[in-house]
Amino acid sequence: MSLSGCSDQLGGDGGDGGDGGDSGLDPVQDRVTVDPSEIEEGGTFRAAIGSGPDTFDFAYSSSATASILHNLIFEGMVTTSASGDIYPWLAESYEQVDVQEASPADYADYMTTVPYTETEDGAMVLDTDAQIVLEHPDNDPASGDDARVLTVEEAGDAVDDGTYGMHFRFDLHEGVTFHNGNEMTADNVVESYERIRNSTLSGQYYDSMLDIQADGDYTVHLYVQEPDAAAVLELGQAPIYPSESATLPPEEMDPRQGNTPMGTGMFELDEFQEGEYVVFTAFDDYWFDTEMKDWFEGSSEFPNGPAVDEVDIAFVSEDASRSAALQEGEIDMSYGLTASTLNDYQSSEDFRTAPTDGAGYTFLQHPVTVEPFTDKRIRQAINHLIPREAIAQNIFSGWENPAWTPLPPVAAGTGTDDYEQLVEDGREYNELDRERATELIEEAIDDNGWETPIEIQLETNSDNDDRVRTVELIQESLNRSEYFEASLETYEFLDFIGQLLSEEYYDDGKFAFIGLSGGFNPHGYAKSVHSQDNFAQCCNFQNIDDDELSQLLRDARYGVDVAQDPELRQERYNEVWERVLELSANSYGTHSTLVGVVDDTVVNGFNTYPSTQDVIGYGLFAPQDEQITYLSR
Amino acid sequence: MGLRRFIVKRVLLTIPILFGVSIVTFGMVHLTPGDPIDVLVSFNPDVGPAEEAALRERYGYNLPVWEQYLRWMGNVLQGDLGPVITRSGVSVNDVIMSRLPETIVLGLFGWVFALVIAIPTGIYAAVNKDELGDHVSRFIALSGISIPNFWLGLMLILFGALVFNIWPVLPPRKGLLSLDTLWFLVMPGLTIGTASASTLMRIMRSSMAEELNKEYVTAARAKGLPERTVILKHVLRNSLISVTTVAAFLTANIVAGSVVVEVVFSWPGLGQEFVQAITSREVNLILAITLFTGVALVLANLLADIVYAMLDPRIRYD
Repeated sequence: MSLSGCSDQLGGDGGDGGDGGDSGLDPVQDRVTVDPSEIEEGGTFRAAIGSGPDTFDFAYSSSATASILHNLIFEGMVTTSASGDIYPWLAESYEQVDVQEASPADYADYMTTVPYTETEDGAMVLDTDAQIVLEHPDNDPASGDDARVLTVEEAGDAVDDGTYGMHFRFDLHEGVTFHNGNEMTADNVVESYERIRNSTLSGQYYDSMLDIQADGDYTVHLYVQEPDAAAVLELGQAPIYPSESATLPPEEMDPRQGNTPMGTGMFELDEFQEGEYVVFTAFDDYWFDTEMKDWFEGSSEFPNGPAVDEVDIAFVSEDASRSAALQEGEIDMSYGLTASTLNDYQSSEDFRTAPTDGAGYTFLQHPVTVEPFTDKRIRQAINHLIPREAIAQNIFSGWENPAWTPLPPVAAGTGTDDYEQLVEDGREYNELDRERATELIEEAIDDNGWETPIEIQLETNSDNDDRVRTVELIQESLNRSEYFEASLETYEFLDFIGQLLSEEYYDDGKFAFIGLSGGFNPHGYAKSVHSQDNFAQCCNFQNIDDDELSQLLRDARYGVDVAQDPELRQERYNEVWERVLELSANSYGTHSTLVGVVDDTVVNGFNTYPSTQDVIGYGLFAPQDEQITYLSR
Repeated sequence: MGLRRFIVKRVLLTIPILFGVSIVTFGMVHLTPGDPIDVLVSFNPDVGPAEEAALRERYGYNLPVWEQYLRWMGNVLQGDLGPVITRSGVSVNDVIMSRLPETIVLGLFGWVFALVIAIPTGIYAAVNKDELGDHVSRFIALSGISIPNFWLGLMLILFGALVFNIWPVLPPRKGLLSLDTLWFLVMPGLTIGTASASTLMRIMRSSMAEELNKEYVTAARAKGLPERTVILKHVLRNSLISVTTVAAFLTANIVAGSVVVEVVFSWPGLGQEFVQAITSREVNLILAITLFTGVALVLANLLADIVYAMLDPRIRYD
């Protein structure tokens, strides 16, 4: 999970099979389909995105727009549909071999000791270059003792002795070729995962990964630290590289370093001009064949790769310029345009808007440790004064939806057993209800004797006009109540983030309004904004600490029972959402919508992925959803 | 003092000025919260305190500001402007070298537009003082000064590209000096040159009107010189002295304007890099572009002095 505008790695949910699933809701609104017999091959698909990549080296990237490019070149052992269902991809199949109870303390026999060192900021950190898999729960930096840690060097020993939480077996397709012409083997998979060690993404992967081992040429065993219902898609999508790429020094898998990034993907990098554009060409020896996939249920005429020959992506930072280029026919697709611009496109015959429920929401985080906001009735009252429908309609022209529940629909697949009911239940807490708000405030004031009006300082980032207007609407709504006096401060994005991530922010009694983007895994939508693990990180800025919710969250994801029983997991998450709403530490604004806009005279079949990270690759070729785009040009 | 000595003195004076600019910029950048490491960390919540500390140590952000400055300046004096931390394998030197030609060409286009529009219009307005043409030119000049670059740029895209299909929206991917690229540059050039043209036009008009009232003009006319010769050979040359001085200062307008114009027209120059550098707190890049801008302004003023001397040989440099 990450702050809106940051990289959002779409994680997935655990699946118990190797043949995909159909648990999620299709977030694509008004999905268009094409008749495979009418597909025209060839042409250049031209798009524009907001910025160039920080790096093509996936493990060292923290940019969402870079992911768009990575997903054209690289592929993982599994992939997801737009609804979050898991499908084996480079793996022919995968299975959960074993699941057993295991906790960090169970690895004590394999741990080594590492001293602590103090940083300039006074934080105690582990003084080692080794990739740490997990730490002993009894470690205490203040004790003066060294820490006990399990590193990647010893993780294999634990696995060999049968100490692990889960064991997955992935059987790879034979005959898959990399862009350099070499065949993919299990050793390539292991090398590719080893590249994650000590990289920018190491924290994300080693949050649950224990070890990975090759077994012959086409079998890989993946071990997980503890039973984790979300393990497969949190870990199974890492890109697989040929040896010559996987063994490059850190950050050097990049054309700016003289190295062409290579994978097994449907496109190869052809030309990259820093700050201007990048061109990919279709990979002639692309391995995919619909007949190789048991889960594919589409027409036999469905192509085995993208219909277009080339993808040309310009880096255009200004929304208005991207929109103008689209109107002028210089590009075929753009996204991330403002609501008013989208309205114009929607009413045009020459363009098609392709909206999809996005993986994120905006939220207002309450200062839960500062009076009078320590009283949840005050927080609930504020929650009842947030005009969600007005925000969705007046500011986003209906392109975004009121967040009646903290769970965006893209994560509904494993996040609840009945999304409609969840939404219905959420309305009770979240609907604009001035009378109920007044009752709650009066009760709290009578009990505590607080003076009114209560001052509320709202804060948000200034460089997002829609967000500022949203908070202005909230401010106006709060000020219509005689009990509140709300003011608004805005800051440049990074300044604001800097404040939010400090350990002192929660003490100031300010309300932070910002966005969060995530993925198919429901866990992060509750954990990121409530867990103590996320304090002073994304996104528990107010030091929220609720033991009951923490336990509910753990029970919903970790444990043999939920790892084996998806329905039980859904039920557990229902309890999580109920607790989240009851707690009212956060008020949710709207659920995001991602809208791709295409030139309808040229582009056929394009649908938008729920996350920007695969907005182009998915649109061009995603057989798991029978998704393909072709050009009439 | 001779002209050569004056130039040497001015160039030497440039050194403390640039040091001053670097210290002020370095200080201001460090006064604002955040650095590139914060950007990397805040965009990736999985980076813990240990990784953050290692990154700070690697790039020297754990050092006191004065030590960071000395280290940076030491590298700059050796021609190393530092790495761009948020972009893999990219150095500030790479960015400056690859983006500088684009910005120079755009700036030259702006200048050409400014001069081509300002000088004839200024002359016309001065010669036809208080007549309709003078009033129209004043109105145009005031509008040009008042219109923000970003709005003018968007209007040019709207009408030039979308309504009349004369120009493309995105820059052509051909050589910088190809005809297609030069044609594309008309729009950003016009945008960036408009405000400067307007100012120059008014200066030209005032200066020329003042010169036209001088006795040597009356004498030239009395000698029977053709009006065209009086205006272009005598009055224009004298009028250009003040225009030249102002023109040097307007270089700052063009450099500053390039920031907005490059973003609006997706022109891959230093201005666009500057915006990205600020957004991502790329201290090295911000410092380098600011210093480069300082050098450009100092050189522009130096050039103005030289041209000043050529236009008026009576000037002495004491």
